[in-house]
Amino acid sequence: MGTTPLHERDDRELLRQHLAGDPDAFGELFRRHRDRMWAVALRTTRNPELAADCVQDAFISAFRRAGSYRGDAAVTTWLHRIVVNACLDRLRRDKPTSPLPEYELADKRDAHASVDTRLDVREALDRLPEGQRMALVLVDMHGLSVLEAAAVLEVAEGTVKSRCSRGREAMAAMLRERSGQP
Amino acid sequence: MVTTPPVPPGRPDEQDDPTGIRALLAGLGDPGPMPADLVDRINASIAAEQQSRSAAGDRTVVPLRRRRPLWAKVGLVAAAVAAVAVAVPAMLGTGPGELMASLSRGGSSSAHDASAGAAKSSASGPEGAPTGADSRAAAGTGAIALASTGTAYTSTELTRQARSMLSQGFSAASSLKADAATNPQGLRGCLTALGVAPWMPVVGDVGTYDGRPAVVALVSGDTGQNVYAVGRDCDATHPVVIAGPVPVP
Repeated sequence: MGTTPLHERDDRELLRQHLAGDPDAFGELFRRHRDRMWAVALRTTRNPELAADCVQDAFISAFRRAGSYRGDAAVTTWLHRIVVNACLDRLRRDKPTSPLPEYELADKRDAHASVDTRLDVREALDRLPEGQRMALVLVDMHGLSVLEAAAVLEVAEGTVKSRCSRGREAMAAMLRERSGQP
Repeated sequence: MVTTPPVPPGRPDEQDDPTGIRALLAGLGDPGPMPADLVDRINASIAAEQQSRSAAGDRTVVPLRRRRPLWAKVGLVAAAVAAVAVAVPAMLGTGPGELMASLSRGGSSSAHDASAGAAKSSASGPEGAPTGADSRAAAGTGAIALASTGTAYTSTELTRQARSMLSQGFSAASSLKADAATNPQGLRGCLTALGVAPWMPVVGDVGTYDGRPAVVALVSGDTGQNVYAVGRDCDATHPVVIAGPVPVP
């Protein structure tokens, strides 16, 4: 086991090796998952500086709390949970001083409609309650399965499904309202 | 007209979505890879964590290849003691005479009397109790001086800026925030948690690093100087390293 190259070890083995004192194992986990964790942090916070701080805090937290990993979910799910929680904690803490940017909903007749539509979608997403927003971020934007998202958010699968469904309906209503559709 | 991007390939459509919102969200784009500077920052943090665990003798992680700290190597002791007493001030450059004199004493006296006696409890070496071969660890805490110039340190100019730190003015301790790295005691605790031996003299400056609030600390050891940029909230229980250790040539 000790002679297996780092890149050939699976995530669980790397975490075990890290706990056993291998000084390089956690670095390999970071290398392997950093882009996905960066993506989820950025999608959650929508602020590169904040996302950077959150993902750094999250990886250090994971380094220290590796012993809390129980093996009942994939290591990547466990990492997602730590990153998402770091982001949500930070967003809740910073909320009074750094509100989400106020966007004007776009006029669909504008020449830059596709760009503006993105802003519309993002703004509508921001307006959702946190639970619905995070379910949609993880499932629809980040590509996790409902099962994985449930594990990350530590809620039941059915809860994720209903949050996704309600969130999509609410967003659709917001976008319809803006475009003047019934 | 709103273009509806397809649901990403390879993902089974687990839920019917008559609203089309799922496809819209999926089409917002991928943020791309983690920026290189952030990768470096986190790698440095992980390295500091690893070093800190080894230095603290944390039994949660038992190093497979336990490395003896450089400062503990037999044969370097005499030179290292001399470094504290004589060579370190020389290496630090041409700073204010008072500060140099303070650092050369090698004790806890510093530009801030508030640091006196700070971190005495952590005076033992990284392996636990101080070894007989290292009289410095047993001698107590090294001097620490802290300025608050607000300098904007950058990753590209860090070593040059670190060398010129001593030419900048030092503010009174009372103007600095307590219980974090902007306080001499907090900075010492932070650095100790990052694996810096307590005997090593430190010159710190409260400013920013690449635009982020930080304390930049120049640490003098027996093999040279290293500079760290740490978060202002860094302390003994929450070591937050932004960059470093970066050797100062």
